[in-house]
Amino acid sequence: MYHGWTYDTDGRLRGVPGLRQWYQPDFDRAQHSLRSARVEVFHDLVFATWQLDGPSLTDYLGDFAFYLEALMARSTAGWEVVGEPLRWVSQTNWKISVENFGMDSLHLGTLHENPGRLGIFGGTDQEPLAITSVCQNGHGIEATKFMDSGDDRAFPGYPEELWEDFVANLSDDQAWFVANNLVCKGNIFPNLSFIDLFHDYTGDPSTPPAVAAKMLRLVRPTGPLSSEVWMWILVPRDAPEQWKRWSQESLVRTLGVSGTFEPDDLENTAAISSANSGSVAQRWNMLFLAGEHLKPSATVEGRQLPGEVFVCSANTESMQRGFYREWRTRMSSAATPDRAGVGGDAS
Amino acid sequence: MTASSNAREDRAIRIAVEEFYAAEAELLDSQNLNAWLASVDDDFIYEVPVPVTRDDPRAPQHSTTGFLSRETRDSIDLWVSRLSPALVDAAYAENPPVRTRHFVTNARVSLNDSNDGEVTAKSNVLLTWGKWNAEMRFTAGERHDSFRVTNDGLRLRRRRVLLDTNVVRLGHFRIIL
Ligand SMILES: [Fe+2]
Repeated sequence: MYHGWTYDTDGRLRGVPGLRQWYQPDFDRAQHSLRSARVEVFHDLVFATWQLDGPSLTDYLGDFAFYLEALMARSTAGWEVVGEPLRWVSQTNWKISVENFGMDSLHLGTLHENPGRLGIFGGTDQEPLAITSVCQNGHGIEATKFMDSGDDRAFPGYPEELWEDFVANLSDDQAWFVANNLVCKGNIFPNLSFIDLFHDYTGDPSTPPAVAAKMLRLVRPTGPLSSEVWMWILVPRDAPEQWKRWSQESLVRTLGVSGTFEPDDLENTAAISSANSGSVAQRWNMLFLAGEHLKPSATVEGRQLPGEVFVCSANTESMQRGFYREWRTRMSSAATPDRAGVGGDAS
Repeated sequence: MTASSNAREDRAIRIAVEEFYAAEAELLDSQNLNAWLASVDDDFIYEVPVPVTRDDPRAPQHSTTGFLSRETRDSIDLWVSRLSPALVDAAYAENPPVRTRHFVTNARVSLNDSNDGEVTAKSNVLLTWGKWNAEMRFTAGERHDSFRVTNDGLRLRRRRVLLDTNVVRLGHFRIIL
C-alpha cells in the first residue's frame, strides 16, 4: 500500500497510481508481477517454497511421506489447531533448537531429570523400544514404543472411540508404527518438527492421567544465535471438547514456553549455542556418536519400514547424523560459495 | 450502612489490594513461590492468552482459545516441587535463579461484587528479567485479577494477564506475572 500499487489475485500488477506522469512511457506492468511461491498440500499441511523448479513435495518428502501420512492422515475428521500458535524467541542457533526438540532423546534423563522425578513423563515400568528411521533429504522420525501392550491397535492417551478410525485410515505398517507409542517425534528437513506423546501428569488431579497430545513446531532462524519458535497444538477434530482442553493444557504445561520441560531446554540450548560459537569450540566437531555401532534393520517385527531403520532399547543420534549430513551437503554445495565452510561443523 | 462507612470500607479494600500486590511481588521476586502459593485460593487459575494481531483494530487483541500459560494451584505446586532442595539442582531454568522485578501500578479496584466477598482489579505489570551476564529483558501487560475477601485477607482466585507483545522474548515464561 506504500505507493498504492495493486495486484490481482494471481499476483499480476494492475493499478499503478501516477502511471502516466511518474514512470517511463513504456512502463510494462507485466514485468512487475508479485513473486510466486509454489504451494502443495499434504494431508491438510500446506507447504510453500520460493523454489519454483525444485522437486515436488512428494519427491522432497521421499520415503518420509509414509510416516507423515501415518501422523496426519489417521483421523477421518482431520486435525484441528487449538488456538493461535505460541511464539517465543530463543537465544539458540536454529539447528540446535530443531535437533534438541525434534530428534534428541538422550537428554531426557539428564536435562529433564527434574520433571521426570516429578512424575510428569516417562513413568512406565515397561522398557520401551526406540525405532528410528533416517529418511531421504534429512528427514527423520523416532517412535518410542511399547512392544508388549497386547493390543497393537491401541493409541494410548487418545479417546478409545477414535482408535478404530485411526487404524482404518492407515496401511497395516503405518498403523503399527504410530500405535502404542509413548512418544513419536521427528523433523521434516530443515525446520518443521513434530511430537506426538502422552504425559503422565501435568498438575491437575481432576484430569485423567496420560492424555495424548500432538504439536508441530517451526524454528525460524533470526540470526546465528537467535531463533523464533512457533508451536501449533493439534487435536483430532472429533475428539470430545473436554479432552481437547486437557490435551492442550498438557502441552502448554510441558513443552510450551512456560512448561516444565521447554524452559530447561531453552536455558541449555542457549548455553550450547553460545559456547559453541567461541573460537576454541569452533576448532572441534560437535559429537553425535550415540548408536554409531547400530546396523540398520531390514525388518522390524517382520515389517519393512521406509528409510534406514535403527532399533534399540535406548536412544541413538542416528537422526541427528542424517540431519547434519543433509545440512552439510547443502551448505557446501555451489549455492552459497561465499558462505561455505564458515563456522564449520560447530557453527 | 452509612455512606461514610461504605467509603471507609472501599478505601480499606483498595489499600488491601495494593498491599497484596507489593507483598506478592516481594515473594515472587525472591523465588519464594511456595509462600506466594499460600495466598491464592484453592480454585485459582492463572492464564496468559496468546496475544494476536487482527485486521480489525477494534477486535480483541488476545486469544480466547490459545494460551501461553494456563495453570492451577495444583499445577503451580509442581513448580514449587521443582525448586525443592532435592530437585533444584536440575531445575536449570531457575538455577541459577532468574532475577525478576515486578512493577505493579495503576491498580483499578472494582468493588461492585464485594458484597459477595469478591473483588476484581485491573493493574499494569512490568517485569524486568536478568540472568547471568545477559542484557536485561522485560515484558509488560495488564493483569485482570479477582480476589476472594476472607477473614484472613485477600485470596487470589483468578489472574488473566494480557501481554503487550505477540512473542515471548524473555529467557523463558515459567513465571507468574
Ligand atoms: Fe528437551
